[in-house]
Amino acid sequence: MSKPPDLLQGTLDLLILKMLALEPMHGWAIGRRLKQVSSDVLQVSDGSLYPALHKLEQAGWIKAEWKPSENNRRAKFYSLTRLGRKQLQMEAADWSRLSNAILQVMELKET
Amino acid sequence: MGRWEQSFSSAILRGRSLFRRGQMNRDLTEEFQYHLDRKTDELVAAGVPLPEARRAAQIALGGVEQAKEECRDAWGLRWVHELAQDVRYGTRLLRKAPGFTLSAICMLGTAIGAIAFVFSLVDSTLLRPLPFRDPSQLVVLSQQFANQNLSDVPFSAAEVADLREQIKTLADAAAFRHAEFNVVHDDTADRVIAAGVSPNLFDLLGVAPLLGRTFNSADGTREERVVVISETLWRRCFAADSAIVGRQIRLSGRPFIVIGVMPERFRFPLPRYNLRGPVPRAAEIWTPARISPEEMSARSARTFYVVGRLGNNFEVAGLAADLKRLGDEWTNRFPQVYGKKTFPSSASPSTRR
Repeated sequence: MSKPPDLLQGTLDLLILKMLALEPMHGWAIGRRLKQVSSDVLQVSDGSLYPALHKLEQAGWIKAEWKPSENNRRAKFYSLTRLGRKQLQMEAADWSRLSNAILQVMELKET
Repeated sequence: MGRWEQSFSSAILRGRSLFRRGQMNRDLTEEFQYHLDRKTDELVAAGVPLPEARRAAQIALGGVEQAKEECRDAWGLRWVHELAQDVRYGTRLLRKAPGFTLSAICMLGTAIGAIAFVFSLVDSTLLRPLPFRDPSQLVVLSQQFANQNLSDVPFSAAEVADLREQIKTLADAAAFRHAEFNVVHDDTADRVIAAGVSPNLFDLLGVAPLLGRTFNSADGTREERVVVISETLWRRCFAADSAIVGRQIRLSGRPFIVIGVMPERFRFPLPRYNLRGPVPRAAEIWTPARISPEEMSARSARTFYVVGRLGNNFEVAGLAADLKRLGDEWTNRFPQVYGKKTFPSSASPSTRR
């Protein structure tokens, strides 16, 4: 298989919001989970994950809380706010519109 | 959470990022350390020696200090984000308030500025003579809705017709409104600012075209669409084609016949009335405004500004009196449009702001 494609601009936000809609997670777990559920196709570089998280927090879409993690250390857990839930709905709708449109184009028959 | 609670809590957060920056930096360090340790553990479990695993974890983070700096950048974005939100909120409120037109007591004419004044405000850097004939006779009209704190409100087509017929101090008045077109040329497309105008506009301003002719009264009503373009557009998109007059061009996909080209010094509307975009650009396309019967009967569909030329021997003071009279008449004749004040005050932008 070819190298995993870079994430499209803006899709990282959508993926993070979706992950956090399932359950509160710390940054490390978000990266792991994304990799797992996408069968290794989606790999978010560590260096871009945290700035994205802080940006989303500043936007009021996610909030953070220090809690003990699974290895009994303090970790910063992020969870979705109500505003974030609305944002997720919007971005998800945009995404499916866009991906459907691309799909339709790709399905055109060559003659 | 209500709007006020929300801005209250965001004010606290804002305060936090200003005054508790030290704490936030410590949090950031701890958050990164947690990540580095997990990554290191993972690599060690896979058989990488500890010192190498540590280094690899740091590299994966793209340089810890740089990643931290990017996070700190994000903290600063809150200001920008909130400003954008406030602007959105304000616009939404305005759109939602039906009282915008209904509740208004119409007060006309107090907002008349001689065009020279507006021009010198907007375009003072250019310091060139006004590009119109007898500019001291020209006035730009808009209306004010006093109890709504709204000024610079445009006119509807029906209101423009009243102005033209009933204001005797004006020799003539022309209407103009914002428009935009896509112009396709040389395999690229330009978004060009345009104005939909009443056909008498060019005569009223007294500027002759460089090529061809300007509009006559029949131009807005015929099936065939016609357009006057600016010299700058003519050079930029049509290679200064000397046979441009009579040529068919496509604007946003529709065919138009070019009937004239205006010289570069002709600038109208003044950029102040081109409301879109961060930097107002000058109009480069003029078409006769098409007004449907529906639009003509919608007295509160306000899209036109008006430029008028004072009749000989008339002063702005006389015009103001005329406009006041017309405003009173409108209020009496169309109370449902100009006079109603009975909707709840909470729906009006001026009291909620």
